[in-house]
Amino acid sequence: MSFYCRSINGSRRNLGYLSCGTGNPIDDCWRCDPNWERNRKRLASCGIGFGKNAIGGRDGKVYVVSDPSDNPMNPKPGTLRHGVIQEEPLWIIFKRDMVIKLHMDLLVNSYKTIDGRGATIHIAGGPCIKVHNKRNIIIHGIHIHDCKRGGSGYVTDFPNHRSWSARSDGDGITISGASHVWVDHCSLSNCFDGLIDVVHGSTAITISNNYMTHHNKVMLLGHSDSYKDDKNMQVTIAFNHFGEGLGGRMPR
Amino acid sequence: MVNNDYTHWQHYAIGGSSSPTIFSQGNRFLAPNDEDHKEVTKHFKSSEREWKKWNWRSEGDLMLNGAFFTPSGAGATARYDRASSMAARPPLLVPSLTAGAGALRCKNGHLCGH
Repeated sequence: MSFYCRSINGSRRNLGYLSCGTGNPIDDCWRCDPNWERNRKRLASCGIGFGKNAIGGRDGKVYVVSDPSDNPMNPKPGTLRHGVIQEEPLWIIFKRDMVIKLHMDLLVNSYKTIDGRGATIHIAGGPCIKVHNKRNIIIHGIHIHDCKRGGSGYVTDFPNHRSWSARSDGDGITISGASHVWVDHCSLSNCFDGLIDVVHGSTAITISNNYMTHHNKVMLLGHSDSYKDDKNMQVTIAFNHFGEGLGGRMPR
Repeated sequence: MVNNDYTHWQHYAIGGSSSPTIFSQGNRFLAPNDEDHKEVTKHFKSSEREWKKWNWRSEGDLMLNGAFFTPSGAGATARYDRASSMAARPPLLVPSLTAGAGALRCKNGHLCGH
């Protein structure tokens, strides 16, 4: 890997302002490659910190989101929700730019990568992303903002299976009872509750390269002092920019 | 917390309650102009006598505009080695390390930029 990066760096002068070989070990692992599209899954080996073993959908097929609509009860093939509820590993990418307004939290199953590279993807204006009792998930390159609380109701969480979902918290990303989760290069702002909350015994989490703005309570790690499972929680927070309009909790 | 760029906060940056272990390495903390909120750290729901035992440590952080971190606990002990998940780079490099933070623009055949 180091040889690969070095040889690419040799031609860096021709690449203008684009950053490559900046010393950011995550980015230097994949951003020096103009053929990133062909080599998307390389990202899965670029993690650092406590969540570095999150492989996401590396060992699965590529699933292309072509439809920005959302039907939580009957997710249509081609939608983001249809991809994330599958049982098999999937590397989920997007056909074009889209704004996805969800009607219930997006319940992401284990061994999924949501990879926004190549399109401008906003998940905004409704409930947002939830990882609950799952593992090995990568979320990369998504704009997540203006997340709201949804109502309670039935949501399809596996193919041919629905479960009752309580009202969402209104977080950008809720990571609850989960392990090996990596959130990288997302832009997060202005949600109802936290931008990223890590709760209920979650561990092996990395939150890196994100840009967070315009929000009061940014990141909560552990929701309650009496919740003993959170004693083992390990979270790495690296290379993030905590920018304008933030109050506190970076993290608490 | 490693090599993050904290350019804005209103109240505090890093807080906690119930004895969390916090290891802040190579971050850049730019305090707000508000004289009452220069402190990076905030201890919740605890007496000073109590939180003085919590393991909070700052190592190689860059403090700007009067920012300060209140360390507590055992300091440089084996407990911190376990809490450390990666090596930090010098905080003067943080602006360039985080220049690409957030979602990138990526076109096939080109490097992903910002």
